Amino acid sequence: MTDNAISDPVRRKSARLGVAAGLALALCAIVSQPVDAHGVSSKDALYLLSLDGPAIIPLMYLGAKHMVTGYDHLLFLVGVIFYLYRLKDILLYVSLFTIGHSVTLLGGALGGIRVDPFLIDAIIGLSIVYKGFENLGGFRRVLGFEPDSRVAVLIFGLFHGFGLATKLQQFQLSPNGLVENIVSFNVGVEIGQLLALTAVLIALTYWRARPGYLQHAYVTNAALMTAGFVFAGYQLTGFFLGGA
Amino acid sequence: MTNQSTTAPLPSMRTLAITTAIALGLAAVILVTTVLPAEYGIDPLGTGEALGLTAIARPEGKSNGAPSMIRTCDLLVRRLVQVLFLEGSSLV
Repeated sequence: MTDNAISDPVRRKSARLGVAAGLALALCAIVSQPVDAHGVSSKDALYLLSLDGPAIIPLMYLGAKHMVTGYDHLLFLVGVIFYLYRLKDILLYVSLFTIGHSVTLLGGALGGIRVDPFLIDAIIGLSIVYKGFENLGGFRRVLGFEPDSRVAVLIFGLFHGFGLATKLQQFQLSPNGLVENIVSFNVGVEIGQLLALTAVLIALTYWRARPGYLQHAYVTNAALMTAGFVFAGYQLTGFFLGGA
Repeated sequence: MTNQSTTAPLPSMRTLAITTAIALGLAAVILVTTVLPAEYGIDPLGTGEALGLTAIARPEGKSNGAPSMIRTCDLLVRRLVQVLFLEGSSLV
């Protein structure tokens, strides 16, 4: 018995410190990631610059990778499906988002429409804030009604697509195989979105079944707003610095 | 959203205002203390320098004595191991 009395606090302390050490290591792993050139890692950037001719699978991979690792698009999607319970609704909203961003990704990258990447990303950040605020019931409380969230998702989808287009436009892609490459990138984006959505939906479904979900839901959407503000502030600062 | 109204009660105007203010305030703190120092080297409170974050914004090899993030992490892990070992042995 005395043995336990001594070793239990020690064991607990060790466990706590173990968790702290694990967190520190995880943080270290995050900060030592290669520095990105506004969303595309330097290795991928070199590849895109050297590209001359169609490369369907690699561009699909890069599109999927951008979506799966692009927390701005993911946060927005979390906001969009947060209160969607029926598969029919989820499919409808995700389709609207897909139509929106495909139009501007293809149109922007192929039509050569240039938009400032910092401003676009700032709007993407604000789209996350908008969705969080809508989920809190903010528009219903302040305006007395909710602007049609299907229209909102479609319009924000257009901005997200411009954001995706600017990522490709930085690299002056060779005209050789341009159409194939951009379409491949777009297809990759959809594959990545499907993978990410599946993961988010599994997590949400599991979470919804737990008690206290509604209270956590409020805090989560407030956190979503915070993250959106941080992202928008980060990008707006970049814009005012003249594209650091 | 069609099926949202049944799931959560509408927050009061006051709650909504406080929530939005907290979200904005928290975002400002995160930006000023960590993101802007790390991304652009903008460090009005000196927190970026203290945490070694401004080194990320500087091109490699131009660190002016501030601890690099890798070094900070290294020290942190060493310290944790030290504490774990020492406190564990002193209690037994």
